[in-house]
Amino acid sequence: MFSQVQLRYFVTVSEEGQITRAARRLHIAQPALSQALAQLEAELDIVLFERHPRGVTLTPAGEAFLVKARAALAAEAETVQVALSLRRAANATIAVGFIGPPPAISTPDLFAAFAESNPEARISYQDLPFPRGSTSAWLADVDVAVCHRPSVEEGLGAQPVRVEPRAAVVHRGHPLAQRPELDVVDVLDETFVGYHPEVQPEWAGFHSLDDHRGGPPGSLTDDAAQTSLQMLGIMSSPHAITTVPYADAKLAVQVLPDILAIPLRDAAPAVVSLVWRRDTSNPLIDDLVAAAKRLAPGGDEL
Amino acid sequence: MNFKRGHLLYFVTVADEGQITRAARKLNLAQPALSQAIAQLESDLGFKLLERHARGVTLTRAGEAFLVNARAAVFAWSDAAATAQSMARVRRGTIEFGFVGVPPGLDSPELLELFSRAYPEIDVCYRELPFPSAMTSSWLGEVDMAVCHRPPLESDVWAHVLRTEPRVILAPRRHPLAKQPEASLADVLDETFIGFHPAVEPAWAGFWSLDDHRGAPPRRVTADRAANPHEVLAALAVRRAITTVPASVAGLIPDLLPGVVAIPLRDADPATIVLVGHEDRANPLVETLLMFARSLGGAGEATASPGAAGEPADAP
Repeated sequence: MFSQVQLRYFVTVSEEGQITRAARRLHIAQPALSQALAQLEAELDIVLFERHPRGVTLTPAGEAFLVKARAALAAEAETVQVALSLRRAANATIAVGFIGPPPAISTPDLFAAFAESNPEARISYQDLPFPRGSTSAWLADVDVAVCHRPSVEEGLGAQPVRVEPRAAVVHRGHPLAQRPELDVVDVLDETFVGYHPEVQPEWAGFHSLDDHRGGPPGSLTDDAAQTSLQMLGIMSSPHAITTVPYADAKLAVQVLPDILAIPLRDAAPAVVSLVWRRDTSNPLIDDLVAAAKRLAPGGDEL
Repeated sequence: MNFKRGHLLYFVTVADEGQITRAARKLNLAQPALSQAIAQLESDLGFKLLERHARGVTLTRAGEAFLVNARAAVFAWSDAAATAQSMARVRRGTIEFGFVGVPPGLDSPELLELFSRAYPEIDVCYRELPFPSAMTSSWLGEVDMAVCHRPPLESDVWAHVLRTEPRVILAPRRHPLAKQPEASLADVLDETFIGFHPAVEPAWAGFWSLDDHRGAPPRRVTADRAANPHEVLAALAVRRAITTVPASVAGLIPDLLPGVVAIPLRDADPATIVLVGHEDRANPLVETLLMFARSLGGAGEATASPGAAGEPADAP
């Protein structure tokens, strides 16, 4: 049978439509890729691509095989992720993803309570990019994430950890920087930081107050923010603003002396939550969620 | 994380069989080699999959969780390979045509005879299949299409109804029922039925022991683990138990096995004989055969209807 590498080559070439571009993306030499494809076609006894002077296109057989090749690669990746999660469970380890400030700083009570009730458990923290695609896929490498809630689709659990006001984050040079506090109307028409187009729209929109405006801002920067570090970099220019949970804003200010966190008096609060895939069978997730419930008895699991 | 893909199939087989010995036989492996491969997989993964007992193995909690993904991965890879093989057959002009039990030349002669006359350039090769198990698409993996009593129709499987047939009881000649010229459900629901292999799709297997009329499995089944029609016939020859089959099959069996009699079942719902195939394989030869079957007319289309697997879902 074919190998994982052969399938990856085939899928990449069909995505790029050109052997040269695909070889560049795969970091291999173009003749090596051509040869690998020819070998795959010989082994399968089907023609996958029609070769043209300017690139390649899939044959009908190639189209049918592409669907299955993608499914095979995805199933294998999923199996590896599940195995890693089960291995962590066997070693009494839980992988906690976060966006922005590390949970030990942003949510110290929760993790102290968890450590107290699970003295044997080890926690590995992992910085996550902003959620894109499905939240399940975004959670692939961790057991649970703590962050402002991403879109919660079926099969996901969410437990509020804390509810807090939002703050506008602005550069000292921004016209709004003089204000001790702000109302939503003061900032709705400002230029907001642009997010990478693949970042979940509801997640990105929350930071540009789309929930109050009922739509995206009239003016966005050309940035394509994907991570909180990148966001900090963008904020060091005086043009744009964004909004984040107030605690995150206060931490950002400590890191970057050129920016200010201004309370947004009447914005709907941010709900910082634990989010996890319900099909992940790491018992420590239940323990962490139970600790969160004890600390925030008002907030129900969704 | 590094494990051998082949070991996933070994693990899934052990989980399905519940015993290393039986799984080794199914995989054509020596039992120590299989035990060693599973131990290697557990060490590569870093967690235990199986608890070993004197009489077999059971899955650990982690093993249960991993089985779901291991099965999906094994299926996805073999599905990719089978799709490639199907496409290679298209180049050669052949259709791999599956059947369960009676060869299609005996129970659906008109369709295949007329097809081979209309399309002499397409070669239909017949392949005997065991009873449907797990997902229908994975059971059909190696063939392009098949004819059989309707299996569960998941969204990745199409079905075309060829006909419906009454169900008929098969019983050994010395069975008390054997003297009756015909039987009703009331006569047979409480009988002992031939047991199926646990991996056989439960709704499909249950149909032959009349679970659809009883609303539950039979009170008594034999210790058999029949996974194909031959094993059912072998069990019928030696047991004091019965099973049911479609009428076209029942007509042939007593000639083959003089110790078995066929008794018409007056009031059972009929069996639905269908052509089934892969929804997403886009095999032009299969399309041709399906169009041909449609042009001959038949009972109609049965498409996948989630939540109502096994129920008739005939569209105009």
